[in-house]
Amino acid sequence: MTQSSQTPAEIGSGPVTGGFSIRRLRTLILIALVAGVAVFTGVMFTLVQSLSERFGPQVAADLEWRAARGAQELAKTADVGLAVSDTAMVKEAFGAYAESSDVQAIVAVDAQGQVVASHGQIASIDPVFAARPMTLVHGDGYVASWAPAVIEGNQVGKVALVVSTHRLSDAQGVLSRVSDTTLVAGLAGALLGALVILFFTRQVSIRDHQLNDYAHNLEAKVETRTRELDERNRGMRVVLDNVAQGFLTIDLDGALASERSAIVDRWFGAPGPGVTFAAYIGRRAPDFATWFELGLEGMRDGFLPAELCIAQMPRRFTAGESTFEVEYSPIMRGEVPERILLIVSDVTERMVRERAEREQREMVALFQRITADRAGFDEFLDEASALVGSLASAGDPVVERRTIHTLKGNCAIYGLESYAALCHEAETEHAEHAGPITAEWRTRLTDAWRDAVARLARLVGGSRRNAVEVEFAELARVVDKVRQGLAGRELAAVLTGWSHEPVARRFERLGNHAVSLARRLGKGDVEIAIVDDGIRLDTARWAPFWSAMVHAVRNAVDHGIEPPEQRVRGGKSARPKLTFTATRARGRLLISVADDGGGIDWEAVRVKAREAGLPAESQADLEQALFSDGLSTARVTTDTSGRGVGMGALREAVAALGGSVEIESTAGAGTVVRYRFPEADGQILPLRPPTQPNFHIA
Amino acid sequence: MKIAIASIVIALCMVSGALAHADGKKLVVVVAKGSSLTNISRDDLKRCYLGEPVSGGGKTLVPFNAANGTPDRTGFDKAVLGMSPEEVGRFWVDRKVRGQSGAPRALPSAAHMAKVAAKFPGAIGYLTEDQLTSDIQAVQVDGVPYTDARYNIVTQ
Repeated sequence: MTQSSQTPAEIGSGPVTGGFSIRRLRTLILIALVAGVAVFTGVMFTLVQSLSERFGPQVAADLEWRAARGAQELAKTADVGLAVSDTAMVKEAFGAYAESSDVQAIVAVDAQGQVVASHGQIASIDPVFAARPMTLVHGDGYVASWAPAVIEGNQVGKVALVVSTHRLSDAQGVLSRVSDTTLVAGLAGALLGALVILFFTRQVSIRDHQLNDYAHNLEAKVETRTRELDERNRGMRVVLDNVAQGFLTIDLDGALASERSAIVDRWFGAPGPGVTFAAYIGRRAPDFATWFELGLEGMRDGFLPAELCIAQMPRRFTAGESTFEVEYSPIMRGEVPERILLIVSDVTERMVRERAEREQREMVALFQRITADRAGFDEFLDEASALVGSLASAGDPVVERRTIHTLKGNCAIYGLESYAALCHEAETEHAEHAGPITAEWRTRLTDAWRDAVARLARLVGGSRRNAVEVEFAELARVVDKVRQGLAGRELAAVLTGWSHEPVARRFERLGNHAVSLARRLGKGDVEIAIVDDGIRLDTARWAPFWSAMVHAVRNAVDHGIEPPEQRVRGGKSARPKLTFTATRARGRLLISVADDGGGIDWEAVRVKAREAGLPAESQADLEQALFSDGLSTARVTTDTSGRGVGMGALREAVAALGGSVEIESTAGAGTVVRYRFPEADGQILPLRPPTQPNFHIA
Repeated sequence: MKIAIASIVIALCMVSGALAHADGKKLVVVVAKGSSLTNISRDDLKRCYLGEPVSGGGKTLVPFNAANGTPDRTGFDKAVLGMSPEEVGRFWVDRKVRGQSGAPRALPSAAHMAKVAAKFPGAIGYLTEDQLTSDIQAVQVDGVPYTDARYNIVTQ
């Protein structure tokens, strides 16, 4: 706090306040006070004197009248008593006079001058009776009179009434004291008032000086702060004019504040006065504006926490060729959001860069796949191109969804994640209705696949290997058979079978996909066991089956296999196991996929089947329901599985090969899906003896 | 015949007088002992109590009344003045309005009456028979002493 720099002596001549200095003001107040007190005292004094002069004689006259009149009245009332010299009668006749405080004495004497009765005291009544009757006698402190008591012309006595004049003198004394007291009080009041005025005007003067000092200091501080704020504002303006992000603040009605980054105007044009952010941005991104307005409305309603409302507000929009991301930061007043800071960033370049990086990573992964399994990759490209080609024109909506789902799974197997993501997006987009895929999405899927193939062409080249892969061990066994005299017709059949694809190759690809998928889903390192019995199958004929098989694998990993900690709690090994088997038996081909997971929740399947209007009475009904499109026991749909589409596609592929599907599931022990096919010529190469298992992916 | 009728009327009057005596006490007109006034006519007594100057015993008589509302006062006014208390009141108001003398002084008690009658010169008053004292004397009215059966001034 800044203290006054003036000395007390200087204070009296203090600063001018409203045209008067404190000294002058003080003098005027003092003069007014003294004048007021003088006038008041004078008036009071005059009033008292007037009262004294006016009412003093009246009181005196009243006392004299009372003495004269009283004597006459007493003489009349006491006449009989006096006539008979009866003291009691006379005293009784004194009546109210004897009780009056003004009456000093009453003396009644009979015709002979003997006192018959008396009241009060008086030094001597003789001067009173010495006067003429009914005249006033003034004594020391009294006025008196006497009257004769006459009955029928006969004087029977005399009565003297002595009235005290103390009341008059007392009244005059009181008036005098009032007068004196008024004078003294007036003087004392004037003195006290003067002292109070001096004290307070001095205090006011001191405060005045302090306030002046404060005002000066405040002005200096305000000036300094204003300069600082201007400096800061200029700095802030420079920042806002040059920052690459758009900073805006809005109130809870969405109205934009006037201060914002200059880049916002460059991006979207200058907003009009009072315009809301939703209206401002809605011209370029109407969907974003709608979702934004919904989120803001939730925040205004206050039913949900501000953080939750913020979390539900849209984050990204596209305006023209650019993509923008929006971050929200509530500006709180206590517990209540008052405004919201919006940070808008142009992420177009970043997205392009990220896409390029993602594509780069994808290309590296694809290259690794191609290097490891060139033939398989070529087959994948052929199969996927055929599936995408089937989407070019409108078809059965159910088949289209299966196709997209299968494409997603196979692209994921071969590391074409960007296209798998696009398929997932297409599935999500069309999940709400059962109609055909929109033309826009057909174009997007077709164009994206064409781009992907073009990128892949740079990796795999235009030509494909036109070769047969044979394991050395198998070649050695064939050579050995030939030396043992294998017939030409049988040898021809064996060599022809080499043009078919080994089942083990497909199992390996599915196993690799299961391993990577399980790692991504936190299901641990899956142990893959493969039993193939050296079986080879026609590549082209079996391609749809292998494509659809990916759904069985993804289901097994996503829904069948439990997380490691859950497996340990269930008394299982932390490491899950997935077994692929292909065997021949009694002229039939049996392919199975077995997991040691938690098994199928048949009750959940029953509930879902009933909800979908499917038969759900027998186990066969439930197995059939499991392969129906749209039926899934998964509570959450992920990019891996849960839409209930894949198993339908798989059943269709199996049916196309004349096969059937069986499911054996034990709660807590796992699930085996068996596919049985009729054995046909050229499908099987029975040279290698079966082993259990003969292939592992660790 | 006329004499017979008159005798009957007188007899009836006497009977009624006797009956009247039986209702109240006799009011004895009194003056100071030794006064020469021993008899007063009913008419003088009435004029005296109606404010007219009446002399008796060599003095102007000064009448004193019993207190208003007492049986003595009511009986005396009726017997002597022939007025009820209301008529007596209206009479004196009329006198006052006309500026004439006031009513006789009223005394608060029989004792006062006895004392005043005994001591005040010319005083005349009335008391019941049992209130008579030794320093006062009874005055006959129209020559009838209060002991006579015809004396008809009684309390009401």
